[in-house]
Amino acid sequence: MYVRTHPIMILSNLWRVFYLIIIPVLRGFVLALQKDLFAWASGAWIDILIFVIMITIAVLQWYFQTYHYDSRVIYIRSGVFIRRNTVIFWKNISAISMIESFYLRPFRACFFRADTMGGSFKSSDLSIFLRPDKARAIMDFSGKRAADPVKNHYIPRRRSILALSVLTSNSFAGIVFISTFVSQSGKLLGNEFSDMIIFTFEDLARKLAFGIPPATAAIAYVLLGGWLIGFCSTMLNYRRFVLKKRNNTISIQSGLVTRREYSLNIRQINFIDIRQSVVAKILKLFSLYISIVGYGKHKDDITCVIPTEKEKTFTANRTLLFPDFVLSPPDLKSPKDGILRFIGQPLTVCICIPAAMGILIFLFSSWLSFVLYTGLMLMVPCVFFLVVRIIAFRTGGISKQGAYYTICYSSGFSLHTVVIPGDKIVSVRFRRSLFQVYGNSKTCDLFINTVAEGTKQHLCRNVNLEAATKLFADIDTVS
Amino acid sequence: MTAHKPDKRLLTIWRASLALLVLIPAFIISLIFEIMGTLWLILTGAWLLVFLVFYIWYFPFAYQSRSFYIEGNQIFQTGGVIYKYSQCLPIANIQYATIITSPFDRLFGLCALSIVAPGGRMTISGLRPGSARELLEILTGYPEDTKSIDN
Repeated sequence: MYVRTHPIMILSNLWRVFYLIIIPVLRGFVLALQKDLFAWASGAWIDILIFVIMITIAVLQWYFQTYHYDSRVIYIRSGVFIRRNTVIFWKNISAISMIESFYLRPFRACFFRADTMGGSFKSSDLSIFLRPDKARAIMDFSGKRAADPVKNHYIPRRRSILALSVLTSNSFAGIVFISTFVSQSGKLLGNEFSDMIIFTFEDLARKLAFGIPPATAAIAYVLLGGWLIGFCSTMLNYRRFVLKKRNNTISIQSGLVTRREYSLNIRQINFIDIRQSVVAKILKLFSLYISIVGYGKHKDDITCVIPTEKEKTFTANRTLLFPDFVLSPPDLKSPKDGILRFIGQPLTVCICIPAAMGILIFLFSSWLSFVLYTGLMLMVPCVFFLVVRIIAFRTGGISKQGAYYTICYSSGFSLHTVVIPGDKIVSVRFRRSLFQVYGNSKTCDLFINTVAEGTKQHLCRNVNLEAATKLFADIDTVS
Repeated sequence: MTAHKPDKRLLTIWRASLALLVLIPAFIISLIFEIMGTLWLILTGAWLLVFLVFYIWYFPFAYQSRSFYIEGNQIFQTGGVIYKYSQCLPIANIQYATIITSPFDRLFGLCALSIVAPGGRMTISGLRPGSARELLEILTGYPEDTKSIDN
């Protein structure tokens, strides 16, 4: 029997036809320019008609959207004019998620998503609003949980979540949140309110400058505020985190304010990723992420499955939860004279910035303090990047144990140790620069593409070409 | 290996959609320019020419070149007018499938089957609903199932 989705879907559908509001807005704008209030009022029936059409389309789209599932597939019917009957096979679904945001809870609704390896890599293959009990029934049914008992479960300690929040919180995300809040509050409550917030902040920055220029103090406090919001958000997202491992699925529950629940198909895990920042590397802290299509796709998803822990605890938990993914130390590493392949780029930038500073100071001596300040600020991330690349040179490499490849490399400001099953490798590309071709050490850079909805690439720098070719000899997709 | 052609009514659907579509430039041109003026005549002639090219030449050739067949564990679709294409999709890679019916499709009793695989999609138009369901069963059943479909 086909069942309808939650009525709150009507609001979501209304948002999709919101572009129709351009008609009354344009009409009002044109008549406002002509200052013809009477014409606007007499044509108000057009605006009302547009709103009625929008609501009718939204309601009809909800009415004609139904679903039904059996042991093999889930069927979804949708569309009013262009009707779609979609059939998705349970065995192809890699990840199912259920998001109960705080604003949906009063309506007893949740956001239900299912994803396969096909379809768009930006959105899920199935996204609907359901009642939480119905969503949970589908998750239990899809994972055949009744016949698949829990083998292991993992609950991180609070200090692990605290460490993860401290090390991975993003100032930028927090700043975006603050700026959106201030601008939206201005629109909703009047510009006086947002001006009041900005003036209060400026006054506070001036009082708490402690001898440094107030503008600098303001920037510092904005960054700190942004980081604090990111920190609190991560802490709330990982509260009540529970990971349960079964034979066929992994289920993850997490979140205090927004409750998230995921059901992941174990056989569709593409690789596991042990990720560290420089600070985490120094403190010997490890976090584990997994790559599976549909998990961690959306910005409101949590992506870490083992939050930050010390090596011994981390290794014990990792082995317990993912015993098949065998980690081996890198056999194939960059030779000592290959350090330039790693630090060439950051070193160039670290030299160019002071050189540019020198030139600017020579040309514009009155800008001395500004140039010095900006140059120093720019040098900080560059030196940080250089340190990451040096660590990647010392610890990077590749190895193989059984059917699993372990690749250690850096990407951006993070250090990765990735364990990939051989059958999840889509292609391997060997690239050689002129220095590598004509140099003594006969090395190459390895680009390894793994199964993903879009493109997922791992770059291992400056390894011996012959040894790497032997390592990937049984993979058919080498180029 | 039997190549299956889309239903003949697909050509009628394409032509009817084109006829509806050309109403838009016709309306806009008549709204902006003076009727029977020079510019109006030129632009009307232009959209009429495009309409006739598609109606008389492009759509019939596109229909003629289009076909699909199942061989081994793969489904093939061929087509194209200016650029010929041949698309192949392993049946085992199919993730999910959708039967799509537009208002025109419902009017003429046809539908389209869209099958999605990692990194690609194949849409087979001009199928009768029964044939689409049968094809869907063949594609989603076991590879040894070699039941044929009748248009």
